[in-house]
Amino acid sequence: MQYTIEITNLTEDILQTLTLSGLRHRCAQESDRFFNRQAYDPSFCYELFRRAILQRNEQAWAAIYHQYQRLVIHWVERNTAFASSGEEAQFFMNRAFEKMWLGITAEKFPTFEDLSSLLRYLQMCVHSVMVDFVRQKEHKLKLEAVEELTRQPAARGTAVEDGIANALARKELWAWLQTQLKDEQEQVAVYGLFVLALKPRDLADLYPQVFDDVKEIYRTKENLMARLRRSEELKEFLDDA
Amino acid sequence: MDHIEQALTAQLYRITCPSSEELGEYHLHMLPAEQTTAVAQHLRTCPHCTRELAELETYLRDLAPELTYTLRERIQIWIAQRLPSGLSGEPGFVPALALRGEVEEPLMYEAGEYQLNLEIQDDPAKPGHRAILGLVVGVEELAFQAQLWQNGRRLQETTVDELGNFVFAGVQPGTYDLILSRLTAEIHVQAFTV
Repeated sequence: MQYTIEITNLTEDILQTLTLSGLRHRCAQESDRFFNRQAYDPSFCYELFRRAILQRNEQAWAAIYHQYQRLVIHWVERNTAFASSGEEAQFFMNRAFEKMWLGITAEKFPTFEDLSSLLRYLQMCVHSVMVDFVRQKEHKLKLEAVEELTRQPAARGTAVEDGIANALARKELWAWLQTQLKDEQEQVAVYGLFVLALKPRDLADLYPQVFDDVKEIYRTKENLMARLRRSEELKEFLDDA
Repeated sequence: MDHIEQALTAQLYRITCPSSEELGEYHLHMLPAEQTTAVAQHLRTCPHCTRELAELETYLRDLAPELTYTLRERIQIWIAQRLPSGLSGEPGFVPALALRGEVEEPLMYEAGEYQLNLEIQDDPAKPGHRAILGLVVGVEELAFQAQLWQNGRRLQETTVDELGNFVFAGVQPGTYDLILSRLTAEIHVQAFTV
């Protein structure tokens, strides 16, 4: 009786040949070696990423999530913004994995030459979700300050609806406002005082070539605001917001 | 600051800032040239993004040692190849353990210097479930751990005894992977049906 035995061994082919189970097993084994500070072969974990991202293989992505969740939690806890966030580390971990899944497309994947570069990107995603959280918190505080002045809570839809509608409304307002600005001083004043929320003194330091002194910033702002307060369009924008 | 000024700040705050991931990809040199230039220009005038970028640099630098590793030679991995039934290099090539019930034709594999026999039987202790009786024969000391996997999930693990026998009981019908591993070598039996 004739039969064929094909033996695959120690070649790059082995990575392609392994099933997801085999790959996940090896990735876990090699990661254990890594965390025990032993010599380590990263190619199996890299192959998991390759299948997850290039083939959009969700099971491979689930394996990556399982393999690295503890590491990512550790990274979240090491981030300076975490302690004051009041959120669970798991929340940020999930957002970081989502961000990476959406962020690395098949076109981008070849720029990741090794496992280190992929994990570096994942670390960047952890920092990115922390930054998003802080930015949202700052924005919310500014909205609350307006609500306090007007004593009118803003209308609320779902978080996603609000987010999209607000983003569009803000862009429209920003585009409109730029058509109302007369010169460079007004442009810089709006950018510095409202977009960057800087104090006039800081703005004067940042743009010495535009403003001679801080008084000039106050003058520019007063002129501009006097015009804007008379604008019905601005009133509509702000009422809608 | 009056109501309109507050409202303008609330609506326009950081509206021109790149997203946090765009800033991150800028740091990692992943953005296309045009986008890189735009972010670099923005950074010249935005203290908030400049601060966030500096924090990212510190964060990644502090964690960097955790990502360094020493390469090692790849472990020897054998993908087991199925042999036609009835073929074996070893006399008496059947598992020493046996359970009562329906027994199918054993699955025989060769993996480098090892031979492997799997018998699938009904599990008398758990109706509707199966048992896998395995035997590894090789030239070296065995000392393998056997793991049963399905769809990337490890379901069971057991030790191969000194005679090369191992058993997985209470296995639901389906397709599985079997991984036999030791320090320097592994045998992968891929996609066999129970």
